Amino acid sequence: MEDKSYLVLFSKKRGGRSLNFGMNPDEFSPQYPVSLVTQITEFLTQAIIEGRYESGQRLIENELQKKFGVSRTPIRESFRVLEKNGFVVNVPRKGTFVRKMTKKYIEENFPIRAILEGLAARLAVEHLAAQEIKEMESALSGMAKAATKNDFKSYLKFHFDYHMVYIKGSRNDSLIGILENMMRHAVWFRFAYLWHQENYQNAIPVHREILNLFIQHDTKRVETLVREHILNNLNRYLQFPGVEK
Amino acid sequence: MDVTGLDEIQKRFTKEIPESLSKYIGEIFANAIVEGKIKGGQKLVENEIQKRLGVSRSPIREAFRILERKGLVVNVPRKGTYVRKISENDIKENFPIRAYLEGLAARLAVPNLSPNDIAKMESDLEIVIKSAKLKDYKTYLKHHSNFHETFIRASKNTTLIEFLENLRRQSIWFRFTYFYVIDSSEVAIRAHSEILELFKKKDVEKVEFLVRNHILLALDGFIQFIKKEEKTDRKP
Repeated sequence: MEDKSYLVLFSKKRGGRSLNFGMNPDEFSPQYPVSLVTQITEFLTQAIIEGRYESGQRLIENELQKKFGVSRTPIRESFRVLEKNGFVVNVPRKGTFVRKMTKKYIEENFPIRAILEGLAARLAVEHLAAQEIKEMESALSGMAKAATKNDFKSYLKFHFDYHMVYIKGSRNDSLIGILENMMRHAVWFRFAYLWHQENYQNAIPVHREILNLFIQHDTKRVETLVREHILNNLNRYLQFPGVEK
Repeated sequence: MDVTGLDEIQKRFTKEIPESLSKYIGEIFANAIVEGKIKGGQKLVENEIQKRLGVSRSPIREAFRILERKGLVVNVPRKGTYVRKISENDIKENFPIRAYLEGLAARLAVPNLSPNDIAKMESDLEIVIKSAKLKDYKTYLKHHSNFHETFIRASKNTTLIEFLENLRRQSIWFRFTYFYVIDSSEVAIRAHSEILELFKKKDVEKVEFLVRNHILLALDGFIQFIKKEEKTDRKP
């Protein structure tokens, strides 16, 4: 039974729409509540993460039109969303290709995310309300419970929720947008998924420490710890299979 | 659509088709927007642009997407594409992000800066000092930008460089929108001299901190300027 835990991250919290895990990809229907483009995008995203489309493989519009029984437009729109989220690359006059995960991509993006999440944490110290601290507490205990039960799917969801509380706590919309985008990006999924599977038990303590620093309003140390927590994973991610030099 | 804005675009557009037409169109529009030739809130009408530039829909649409990614325009579904309107909040949000990322760039640049790069920054700083005395703000801004661009490029992180290109362009946009011209250049000049010294000393920690702080202080200056202007009732 495949582990589709990462897919919980696609549920649109605000819109209330979520990926129907039980949906048969061959049963697309325009009447289904979720838009056609969303269905196609989620299917392709899942396929890429699972490796059913290989790194560098070209996604052929015609084939997909036939496969889903749709016209060119939703396919193209889906490609745009996939590109925005970092799963594919559109090469002008050549086509759309599954993005290759390169060493360079990881080495460049990790420090950026680390610095910006550190900034978000720093800004959040002043803004986090008691309610939000409670949300982080409950996300953390969700993570801990999931870890003891080896429930990786729930762990990943709670972990994402935890980070988003203080990111939103920065109250800087541009920053929130940038970080949300980065977290949605392909690399975090493909590798966070693999890394967390191996290490999630060990990640609980550092998240506990970070939360304590928020409670203590320790602006400087929380920024440093968040930054380091993210940078520490850089080397591990470089070791994963599928990373091109 | 504002006719003057599009006239300007047409003037800048040449028929020599570059490698990527949409990128080229995007660049022309980006510059025009940032310089205030097309105002915030204006709608960019595809048809008109098609006619004026003699290009098809595709490159224009792609150019709009590029501009949206750069935060210069907003695509409103079923309505159209509009130039974004700047608010004080945009400035308050942009500066800290830029401060932290430029700090990171400075840190990464330290091992990569060649003697040539250092010499370049020295000469840019000299011109900044001279033009401040002569109150030649155009030259001042140009060489101040060059100074930053040198070490940003030396970070060798292409994602970061592109990020900062967009953020720095937006801050130029803020300056034009609010008619903001730096009045206290002495502080800025001192900061840049210190930054240069730290690059020479290869002090990674301090240079990151100073670059970051320099920009955060600039934010304070800008906000104070806006408050003063609002009192004299001069709004963008």
